[in-house]
Amino acid sequence: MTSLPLPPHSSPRPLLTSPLPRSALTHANGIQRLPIHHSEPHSMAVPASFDQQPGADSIDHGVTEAPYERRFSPYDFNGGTTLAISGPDFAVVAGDTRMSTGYEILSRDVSKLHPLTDHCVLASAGCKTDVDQLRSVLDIRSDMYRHNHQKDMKVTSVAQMLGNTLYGRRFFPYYSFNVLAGVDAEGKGAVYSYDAIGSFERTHFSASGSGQSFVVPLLDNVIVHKNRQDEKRELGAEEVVEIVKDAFVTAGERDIYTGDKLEIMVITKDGIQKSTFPLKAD
Amino acid sequence: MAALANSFLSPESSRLKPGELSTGTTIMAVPFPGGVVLGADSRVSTGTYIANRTSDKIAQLSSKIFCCRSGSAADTQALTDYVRFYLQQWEVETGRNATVKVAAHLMRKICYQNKDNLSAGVIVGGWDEVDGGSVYNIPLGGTMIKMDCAIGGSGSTYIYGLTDALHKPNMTKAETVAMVKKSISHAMARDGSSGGIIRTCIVDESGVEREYIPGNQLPYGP
Amino acid sequence: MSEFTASETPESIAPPPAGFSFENVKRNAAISASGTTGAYTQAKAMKTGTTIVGTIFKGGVVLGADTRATGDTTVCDKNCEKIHYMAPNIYCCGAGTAADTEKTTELIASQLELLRMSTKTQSRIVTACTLLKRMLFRYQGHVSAALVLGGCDINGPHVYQIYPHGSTGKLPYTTMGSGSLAAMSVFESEWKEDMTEDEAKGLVERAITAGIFNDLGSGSNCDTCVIRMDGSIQMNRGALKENPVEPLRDAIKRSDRFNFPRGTTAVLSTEFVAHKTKGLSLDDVDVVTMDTN
Repeated sequence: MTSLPLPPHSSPRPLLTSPLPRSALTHANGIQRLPIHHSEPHSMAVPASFDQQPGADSIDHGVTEAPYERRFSPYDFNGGTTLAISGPDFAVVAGDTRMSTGYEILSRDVSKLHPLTDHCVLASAGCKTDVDQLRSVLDIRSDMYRHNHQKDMKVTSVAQMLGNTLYGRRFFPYYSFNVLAGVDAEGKGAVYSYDAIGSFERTHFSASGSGQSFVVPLLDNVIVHKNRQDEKRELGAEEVVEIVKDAFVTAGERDIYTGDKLEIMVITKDGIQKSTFPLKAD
Repeated sequence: MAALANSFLSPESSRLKPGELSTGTTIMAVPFPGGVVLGADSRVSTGTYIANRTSDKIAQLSSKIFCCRSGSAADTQALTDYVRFYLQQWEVETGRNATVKVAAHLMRKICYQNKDNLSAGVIVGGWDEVDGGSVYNIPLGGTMIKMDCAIGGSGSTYIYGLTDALHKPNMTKAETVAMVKKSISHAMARDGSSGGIIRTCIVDESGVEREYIPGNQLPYGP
Repeated sequence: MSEFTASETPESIAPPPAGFSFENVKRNAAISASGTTGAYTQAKAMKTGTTIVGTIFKGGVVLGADTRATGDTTVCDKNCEKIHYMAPNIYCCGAGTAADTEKTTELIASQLELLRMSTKTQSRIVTACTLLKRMLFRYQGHVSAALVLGGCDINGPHVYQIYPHGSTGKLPYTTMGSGSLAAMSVFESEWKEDMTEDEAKGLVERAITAGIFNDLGSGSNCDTCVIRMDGSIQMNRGALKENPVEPLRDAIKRSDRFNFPRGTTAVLSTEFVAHKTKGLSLDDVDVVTMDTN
């Protein structure tokens, strides 16, 4: 993981002044602060964390809370889970299609997957408006690349571009949790995982969004073979797709923001294959 | 509008504890020679949600004494429950019917002694043999004022001028009832946290009459 | 026969004094105030982001509830019971903090039973309502139980709504919880007076279903409870199960990576040390074989 330069003294450290109100990221739902990749434990005072006001109660959408005053907040958490798994000559990327806010479902059919080239798909959860903006910026920049270089971007280049684009908004981040999947120049499956401000690395698999905590341990065991003594074997694309379905059904059982429909894309050197699978609607 | 009125304008809801139900309200009581008319809207709200659209904000304290509630629903219900209990005890001990003055003083005392913990503005009205029809207003701090025309709740701010203009001394029962209904319907038309139906309660020597006007038959409305 | 009666009761297992204990309030406030994040965040209670409803019909009352319990955005229980027993003729749906709704209804149910034993009369719904509102008012909203109380007594069928601060309302139909708006929209468009039992049950099921599908805090199944004027009760756990996971699982060709043959888990150590309890154990007494003749 990439470490950010930290001042070499002990906490509490003064925070840089953030352009956002301190309440910007206080949600009852889901993620309270931007999860930034860290190399040091408890270094929560890194400027990008727009801290929750101490003691500030989060909004409860049930009957037990007060009529509340809302301040303008540039961020909303629209929920959802994304997942990507790489294989020897393919990558599988998936996301559910539910979009929500608070305890409300805004749509049951909004895609979290966005093909950037014929061999590269971006999956993003988080704040939908930021995701949309990020996608159009990336589309424009990959178009410019194509016009300048007379060729499509390679996955490795897209990965670097996404990292740069995110870090460009270091102090007013895109509230989006990205997973990039594709096949690289050698035809191998490639998956990149990101934090919100552009730290990234190439991984075997990655999940992000509201249901990630249910999916990651499962795949650690089934895909990466962690904590297993039995024999490991290579998985084909079809089998990975079935595992992805299983993982999403499981996440949908326990995460209230995951559900309605699953969208799966299998990326090989020949292109992108799309399919869907129903999830529960409650 | 309703949320704004609730969180900033009305004095009683500014003291509400988180999640508390408010009877963001229009209440009113007017005595006439020989009796008294009490009136109230029926809306109970949590923020912008109407928790009860047909509630009864006119609580009975004894056979001919009533009380209009505004502020926290929980506080005013507990308050009227206590006053009803004490009055009943007082009537049994003394063998006499309680007067409106006694009821109002009791209410004032509890409101004043617990002023730090209560958000309750009430109007006590009724008929007794000593004073005939009479009305006492007990707003937030626990003061008590005998009035010829008492209004209260968030909706009352819209109709101070109207009630001043409509109220005349020595009105008949029918005139008083008409005035109460008209005033409350005007408040309901302007105040977001008042609405629903109008409930009235007419008390005189002969007894108690309880009526309501459905929301689509109000004397004034949008 | 061997006897295991301890001679004196250790302080740790002596019964606690009645009522709530507030001994950790100051400590917890100090921890919160210190602003420490991470390891020392306060424990959060399980909430039942809920849809609960109740309505009267011609011959009784129908109560309804979903069965999802959540802790923050995680589903803690997919099939919990939210319709609680109060008296043989009274039941009560609870929304809010799970522990509060369960313990409040339990406590009042026991008070009602004592009252029935001393008065030898059937419990009335108003009595249950008054006991509940008094308790909730006393705790000024800190006991967060939002209830729909329903039942039948000599005065007929009744439904009450009770808010956590202790205010109550008597209504022909009502809804509570995070899904109350979804459920109320069904009631406001379809409810009518003097419904038959089947009509009322259908309406309650539709109202709960609206909550289950449109409110993320509510989900899984629909429970209903019918309390009739003749004294009979019909508690229907899982009256409607519209969210089975089995069809989804059946549609997946499950990978054998989910099977774990014997030996999958590494054995790190096989040493076994018996736990020595502080108090008495079999080693401390003379064990005499029981005389079975």
